[in-house]
Amino acid sequence: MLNRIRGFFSNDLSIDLGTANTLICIRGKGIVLNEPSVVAVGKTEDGAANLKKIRAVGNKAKQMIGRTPGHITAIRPLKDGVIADFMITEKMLQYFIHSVHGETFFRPSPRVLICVPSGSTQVERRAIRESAMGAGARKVYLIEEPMAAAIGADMPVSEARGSMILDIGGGTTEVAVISLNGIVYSESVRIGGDRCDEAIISYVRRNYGTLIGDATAEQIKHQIGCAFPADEVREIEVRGRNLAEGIPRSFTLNSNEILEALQEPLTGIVDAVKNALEKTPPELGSDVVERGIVLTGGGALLPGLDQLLMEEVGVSVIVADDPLTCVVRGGGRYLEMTEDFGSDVLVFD
Amino acid sequence: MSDKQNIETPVSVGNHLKHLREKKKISVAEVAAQLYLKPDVIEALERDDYTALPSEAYARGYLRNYAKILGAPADSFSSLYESDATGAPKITPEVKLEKTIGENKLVVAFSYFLVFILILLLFIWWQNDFTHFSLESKTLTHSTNNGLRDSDKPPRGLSYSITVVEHSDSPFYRAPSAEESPEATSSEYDESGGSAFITGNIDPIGSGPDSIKMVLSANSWIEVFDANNEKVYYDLARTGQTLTLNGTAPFSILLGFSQGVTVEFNGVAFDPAPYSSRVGIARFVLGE
Repeated sequence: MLNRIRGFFSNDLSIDLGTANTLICIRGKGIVLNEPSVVAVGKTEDGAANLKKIRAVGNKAKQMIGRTPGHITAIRPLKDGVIADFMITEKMLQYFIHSVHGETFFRPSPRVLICVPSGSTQVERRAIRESAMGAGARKVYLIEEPMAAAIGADMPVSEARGSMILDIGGGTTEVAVISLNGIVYSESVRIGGDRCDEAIISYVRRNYGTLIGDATAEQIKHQIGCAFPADEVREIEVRGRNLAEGIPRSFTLNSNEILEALQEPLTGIVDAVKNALEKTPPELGSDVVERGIVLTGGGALLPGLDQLLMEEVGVSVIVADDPLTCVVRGGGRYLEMTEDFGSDVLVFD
Repeated sequence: MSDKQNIETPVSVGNHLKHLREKKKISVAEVAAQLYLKPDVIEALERDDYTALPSEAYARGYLRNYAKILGAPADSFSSLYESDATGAPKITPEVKLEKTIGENKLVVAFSYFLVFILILLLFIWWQNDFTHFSLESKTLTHSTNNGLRDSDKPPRGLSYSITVVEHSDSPFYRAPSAEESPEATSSEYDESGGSAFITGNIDPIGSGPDSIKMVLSANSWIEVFDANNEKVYYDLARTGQTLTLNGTAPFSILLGFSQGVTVEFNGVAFDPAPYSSRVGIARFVLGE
């Protein structure tokens, strides 16, 4: 009863609980929050995270990664698209839900739609559901990420034609063939932005004998990263600790080196797409070849990725508008047009 | 630069693309092969005929890719292509993440405190209002148990008579009907009811300079305390009864049913009506 009253004062939210970023879209209002999924917490005496001492969440916490003193630890509570630290995720969600609601007399108790990777297990889905409940949600609905991404990319998901979506997130890459509001085939590989960062770190260590941090690797990827040889070669100056000398050194990296570094994760993504096409029923496969693959997620911003996929797979690839927010926009649109999509889109476990 | 100027002129997207393609001497088939699309899709794009394409999202994607191949700025094409209906919602920076949750907690605690105070006040008010009802119910309990409980105490007020009625074997009851037959006694009792035995004057109760006279036209519970706060009268008085109570003023008096009692204090009539509650209970002090 009390929940209902509180629900009256709360909005319906769509949350893209991603490994790298968490986005929240309020029904009828649009995207109101786009923050990194990072929490900085204090430590207890035995070194464990102290949940009562949350120092920062989101952007502020992300700046702290790799730069924390002994009594603070910056945690990324999600790994490979699923929850790695349950309590921290709950606290983070609680903070985000609170902040999008602003000042209200009642504690917010919204209905929440959360996007989950299609390859996640029952246990992982349950963890997401419970953590949202713990964060104050009145009711939690789950939707598979590729479905939400397809709705958000404005693809004709309700038609009896196959559409293929490739969503490259921070932790996972999801490939799915969608027809008649449902997922016909989906594949989820645990390769994403994080794996690209790791690949860059190990490349730099191997070839320059220098250690760089996660944040630097991400910066390199954003500035000169590419997936297909481009006409112009871009360069970036990087600083890292030389392993032999033990002293920080500065050196220059160019985009061709990063292309080489990213070969392994990129091959994984291409293989996943090929695999999905191989397993797609022939009728839908022909639709996909005719229309092309739609690319969403942060990975779609990597220059030349669409070209690489076109060359490797031989199918037209287009990048969706504003690929970073496709998933959460899809969730938001689902909340607005529930009757159009029906409940088949939702995941029930 | 000349490309940009051309885009800004009001020509359609398709025409402009076609113009660029012809300038670069690329055939439709070549473009289609590079984009992995069917040539008729490219032709449809150049004709601005989007009905042949799967959806707007695909159309925009194809246009962007096409523009990229021709080395034209893809973003200008997207803006030319009118699609406000399905445009991505802007990220509105309306979130204030700086605020601490602690402040919120204080507000919540304060509001809970207010609600608690309100409930407390409501409870006190309800308690006050309810005392009248509880008094009345107390009175009723007294009236039903009265006779039996007081039977072995020295008679005060009317309880004496009630004892007689309820314990028909007591000597007080038998005395007036000694000469009559048992049948007659019982029939008289049945016809006249209890009231027949309890009408009439009662000897003055208590002693003191002041006296109160009460004539009852209906049953009423009466409590009278004198100046020393001693009980002068504390019992149910029956219809038709006249009570004379002596003691030292002031008397604090409670009448259970004030409408049924006429009060005289030292020979002067006193009206209890102004002190009466809506159920008829009156509390007042006489001889202050």
